[in-house]
Amino acid sequence: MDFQIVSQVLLPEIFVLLGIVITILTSLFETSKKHNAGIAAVFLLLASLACYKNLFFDFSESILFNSFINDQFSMLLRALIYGVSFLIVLGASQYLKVLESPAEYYPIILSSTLGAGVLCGANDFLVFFVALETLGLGAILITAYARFNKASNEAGIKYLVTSAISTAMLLLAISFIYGLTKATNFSLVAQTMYEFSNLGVLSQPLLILISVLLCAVIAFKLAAAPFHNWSPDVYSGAPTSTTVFLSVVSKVAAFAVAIRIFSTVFHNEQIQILLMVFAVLSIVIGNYVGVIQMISRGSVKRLLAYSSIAQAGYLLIALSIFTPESLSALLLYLIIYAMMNTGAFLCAMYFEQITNSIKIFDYSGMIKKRSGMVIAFAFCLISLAGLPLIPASFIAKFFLFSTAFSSGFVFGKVLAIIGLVGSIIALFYYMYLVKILVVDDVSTAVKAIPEKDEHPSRMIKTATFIAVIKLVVVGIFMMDYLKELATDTISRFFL
Amino acid sequence: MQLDISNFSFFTDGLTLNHYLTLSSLLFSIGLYGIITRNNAFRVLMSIEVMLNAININFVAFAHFIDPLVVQGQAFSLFIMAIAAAEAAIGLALLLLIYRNRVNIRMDSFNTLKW
Repeated sequence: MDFQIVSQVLLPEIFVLLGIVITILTSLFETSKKHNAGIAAVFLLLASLACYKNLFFDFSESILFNSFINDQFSMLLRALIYGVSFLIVLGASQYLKVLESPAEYYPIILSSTLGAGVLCGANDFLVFFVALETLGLGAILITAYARFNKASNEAGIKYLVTSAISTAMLLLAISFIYGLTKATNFSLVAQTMYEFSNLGVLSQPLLILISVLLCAVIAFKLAAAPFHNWSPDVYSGAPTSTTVFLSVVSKVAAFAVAIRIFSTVFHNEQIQILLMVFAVLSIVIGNYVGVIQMISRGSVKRLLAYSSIAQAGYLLIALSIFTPESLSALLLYLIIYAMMNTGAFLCAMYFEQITNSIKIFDYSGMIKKRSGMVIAFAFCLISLAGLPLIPASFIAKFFLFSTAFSSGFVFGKVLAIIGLVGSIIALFYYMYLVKILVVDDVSTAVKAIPEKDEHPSRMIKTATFIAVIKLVVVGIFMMDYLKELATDTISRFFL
Repeated sequence: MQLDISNFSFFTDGLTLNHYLTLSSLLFSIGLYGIITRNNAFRVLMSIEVMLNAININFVAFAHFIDPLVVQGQAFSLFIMAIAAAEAAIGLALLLLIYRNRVNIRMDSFNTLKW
């Protein structure tokens, strides 16, 4: 094993790790504390660029006794994760100023990001477990970060308990896999399982138990119904910068690991059926409760939480169909979803900061005061709804449903129709939100907003601007390229 | 009539893998039951530890009976212990914070976040 290869493969992770160490050290001094956000952002940007560099030179390698794999899939998703985290840190640098000690937030969010990045390349159940816990434990800490906010504390303890149960289920599944195959490496497990099933000695009930447990854990991490109950509470209680992190980074990492396990380790009918049930339930529950949330004048963070449950449902359709075409559609939609959801949450973060409220109706008539951010918010919401006004998300969603429809399975058609109906229902609350911000009368909370921002919110605006510009540029110029890249990436799993 | 204990493999062959798996599944169920039913948040944290340690038993038993040469399972259980300790630390810190803010740590009082 060559040290040079390892360092080149793990270059993005080394950058993030350096960021963690430096931000911990700078948190020690009052004078250097305030640069933490900048340092974290710089290292995340470097990490993302290092991923793009590896992706560009197609540097595929598996290292550390085949326990970490650096294929095109992992490089692409790591680049995405570090890029999104960069935007989140930019937004958080302004948003967290109201807390009494924002500096320590950055080492934690960096280590969580590191876990998410490693998860995309994990090729061993041990690495998978440790990376998942790095992601999860860090996420708990940043959920409960607003120390004197009761909602934030409560979200933290709820997330801790539910994620501990999911960890235990995951470990149970891994222990049975280990007991069955004597190995924890993905490729060794796959090989042994293949041999056993050829010999006819693979215990079916045990295999079903393992599949159910793994699907449950992945559904939990994706916040897909029926394992979604933690997500609205945690999303609305946590600081909004954490909410973005949970709804984008955590979800992308979970999909990465789901695709890798199901395509390289094992896959069977039970998994397919379970994921289908999860997909249908997520679409139905996410959209139904989203509509109720909208009508009952709830909080915008909770609304976006239900919308991201529904989005996870659309993505799960593609995961449950599990053909190479549907998986590449999933990858394409995941990339677009990460950008538009980040944009939407960053706007929500900005509105929360200027009005000190997360209630939807406190934002009515916002366009009179902050037209730029409202337009950006509307843009992201229209993208999430999948209207053809913005090419990126429409093409990705069209591709997702059309591959489900033409997959050759009867249930594929049914799922695509359910997904389409769900998207139409979702259109109601996305558009209603836009209507409230643009058309409705100005609320008292909005009237109280000064013409100019008191505390400079340049960073949130910059991050939103980057997300929106990415979405536009990708949508207009790069969809063909991205589609080819996704197809190529997924086809390497099915050689 | 005398009971012939040599018929029980438990006394003759010693413990088999099944005994360990039974123990671990019982402990796992007790832990899950504790998480669901206990009202005190400390007990919930303790139940989480019970669940994770049940899985440690599983791993070590598999390592001993199935994989005695490489013992990968034992290494795995060390990692689980480390992560469980981290989880307990975070949980205790959180409970301390909640106790300061609300003066109780009853699970059913965490009900401010509702839709």
